[in-house]
Amino acid sequence: MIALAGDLAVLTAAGGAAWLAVAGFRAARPGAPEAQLRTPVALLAGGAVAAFLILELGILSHDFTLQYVADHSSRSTPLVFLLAGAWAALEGSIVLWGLVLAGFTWVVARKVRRGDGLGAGALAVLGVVALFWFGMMATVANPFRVCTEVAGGVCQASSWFPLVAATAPLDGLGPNPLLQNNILMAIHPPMLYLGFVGFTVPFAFAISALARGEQGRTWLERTHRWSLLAWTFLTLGVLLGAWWSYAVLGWGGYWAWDPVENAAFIPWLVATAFIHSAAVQRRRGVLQAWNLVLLISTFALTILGTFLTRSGTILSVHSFTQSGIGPALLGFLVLVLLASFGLFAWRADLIGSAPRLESLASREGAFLLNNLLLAVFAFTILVGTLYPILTEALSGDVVSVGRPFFDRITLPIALVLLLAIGVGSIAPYRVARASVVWARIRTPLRLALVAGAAAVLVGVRSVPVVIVVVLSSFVIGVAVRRFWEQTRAVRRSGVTAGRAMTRVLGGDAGYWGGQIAHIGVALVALAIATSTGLATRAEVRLAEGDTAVVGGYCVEYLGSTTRTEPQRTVTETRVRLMRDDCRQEIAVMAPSVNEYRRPPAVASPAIHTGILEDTFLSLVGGSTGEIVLGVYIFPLQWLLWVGGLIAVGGGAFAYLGKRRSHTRDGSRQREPSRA
Amino acid sequence: MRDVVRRSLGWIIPLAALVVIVVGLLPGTGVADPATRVQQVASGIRCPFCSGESLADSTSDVARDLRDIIAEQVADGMSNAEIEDYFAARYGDQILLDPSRRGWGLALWLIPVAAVAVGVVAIARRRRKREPS
Repeated sequence: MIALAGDLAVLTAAGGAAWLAVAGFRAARPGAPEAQLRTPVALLAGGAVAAFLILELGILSHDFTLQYVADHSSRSTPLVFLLAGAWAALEGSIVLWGLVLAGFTWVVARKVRRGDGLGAGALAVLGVVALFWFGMMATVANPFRVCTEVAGGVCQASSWFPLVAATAPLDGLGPNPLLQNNILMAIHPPMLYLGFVGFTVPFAFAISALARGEQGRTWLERTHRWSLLAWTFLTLGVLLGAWWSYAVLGWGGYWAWDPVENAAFIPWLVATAFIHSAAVQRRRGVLQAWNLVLLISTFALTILGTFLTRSGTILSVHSFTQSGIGPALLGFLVLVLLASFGLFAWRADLIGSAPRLESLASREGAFLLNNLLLAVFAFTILVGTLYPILTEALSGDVVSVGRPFFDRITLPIALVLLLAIGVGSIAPYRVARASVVWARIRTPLRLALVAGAAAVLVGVRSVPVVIVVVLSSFVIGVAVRRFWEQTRAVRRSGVTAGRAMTRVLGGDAGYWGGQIAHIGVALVALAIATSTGLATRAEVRLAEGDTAVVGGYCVEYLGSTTRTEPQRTVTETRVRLMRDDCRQEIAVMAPSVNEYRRPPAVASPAIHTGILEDTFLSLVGGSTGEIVLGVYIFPLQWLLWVGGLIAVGGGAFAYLGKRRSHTRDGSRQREPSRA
Repeated sequence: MRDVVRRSLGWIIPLAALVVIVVGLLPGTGVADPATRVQQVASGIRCPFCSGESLADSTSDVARDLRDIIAEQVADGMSNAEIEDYFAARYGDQILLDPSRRGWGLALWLIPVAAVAVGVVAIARRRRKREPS
């Protein structure tokens, strides 16, 4: 019964999406008659919400006649992971994606008034995307397939037909062990999807403007806050993914250049480039064509990312799911690219006529450099990720592209990017005279050199790390100095320091949100440099009572216990962490191994975070009485999470600040010009 | 007088800092310790029986055994390239995660460089085309 209800909900949403696509398209034509778009949007949103709730209901009520429920949850799964089970595998994650898309469509529709052709067109594009998504849900990725054959306690065959004679295993398999080991895995995918799907909205407005032949930046102004919101969530999603990888996977790192990580990171880079170039177009009217390219690319890359990660095309640790969904996604990707760039070429005469840059030595020029770097960054990672498939398809040669390549090729790009952030963010618009720029970077540059020298004096001997220390300090110094200078200027008019600060920050929330994000990025760069460049990694073999000294610490194996929980068996070891004299105790840590009903066993590392460094213990192996312990020391690791959260905070600040300036007196506040 | 002192300090301090950095990093090309080298080499070799992880990242038994082999080879004084060749000969070229030394891999390294060149040329040409107007 639940399968029938679920299928009906999916079909309702798909029907609403199709209706919206047609009605929106008709209403978007110039001089079109009034169209009713509220009903199809309501159908789409209602169907999406119902489909999601019905799936959750099936999981929570342990209805194992649904194959998805039988495969990805069990009676012993804790409540949090049951709820998260709705997006723990392919079909469910598509339901969540559809829900977010339908929700965003509903929010967009509330702002679309009668006679708003641009908005109607955007709703039509959102309808097309939603139609594809719910179409997949109804066919190749149906989460409501009914189990028809059980063997060995596992559902072996299923049918799409909801009224077929159903059977069910006694208990489900439970989620993939990697996914039920940490709460972060319940939050990371929704954040990522909010980011991915969020960029569909500006994309839809851009396509609508192109198709209607609308010149100007109306579409950009209307979707500016959507872009900020999407970027903020995407950043948070990537950050949480890295955090999960660090806290759960136990290999002693947070980023492996795995195709799935790249699939989220590449759109992030392109989206970041878009946020910057959109700022230039909004203020100076240039880079119009480039903005469209970036936005179309961002959208296409999210589809490509989904294709890469969900079709099993690239073998990777993240390939939890594989199915015949690949051709559908690939087809949609090709369709999006052909349609978007076809439209782009057709309207080329409208796009090309932007005013030119006055000088490359200006804020605009710095944005252009930033865009070039981010685009090359994204392109390089994309090529590196696809290269094994390409060479195998073209020549049959199998080539592996992994961490050494990505680490080495991204280092120079990242360093130049840091420098560009520092100089670019304070360069005046139009024409930047060298003397003005020099006055703004002089002091931060000196402080940055002092910071680099300090790093050398405390014993850092790695060249890239010292360079990153200098550049990160420079970026932070430039932002802080600019803030201080402007606050001082405001204070001259006789207000208190606190009032002056809020006035500066609130006066241009977009700019200061950006600077906060820059500070976050600089801290992340610093943490990446120290935690990889200065890390200590060792493996020690310990019998009970043994001690070993690693990188300034002493570890002692105290013993291990095994306990059985409903859904898993936990083997927990106790290891005492001490100073290298093996006397002064710092902490007792408990790295463990969890075995679930289905393999693989998951090692849970134990992490001790100190002010200077993380001590990361992971059980690598062992037998009775003896363990092999991975001991990793990552300097300034915590700074990575703090920096990432600051970057997210910067995005949120820009987003919220924009709302204030929109609503205070009903019209957009004029931002103080900053040249 | 105070102004002169302040102004010269403004130069002396960053210059001194620069000297510290350069001098401090010059001998930085010393020999890495064995554990670091094992880590270096292992992170460049794919774990042959795992999915998509390097020998340094994988927690599997196979990876641990192979890391032990690398440690022995490092102790025997083999160079990083020699160790990589050893693994490439046994498991095929695709076990190397860093495709820098052979045909297809070389092309991969050139692509980003070409992308930068194309971008710079595109920006330069756009500007020149508009200059006369």
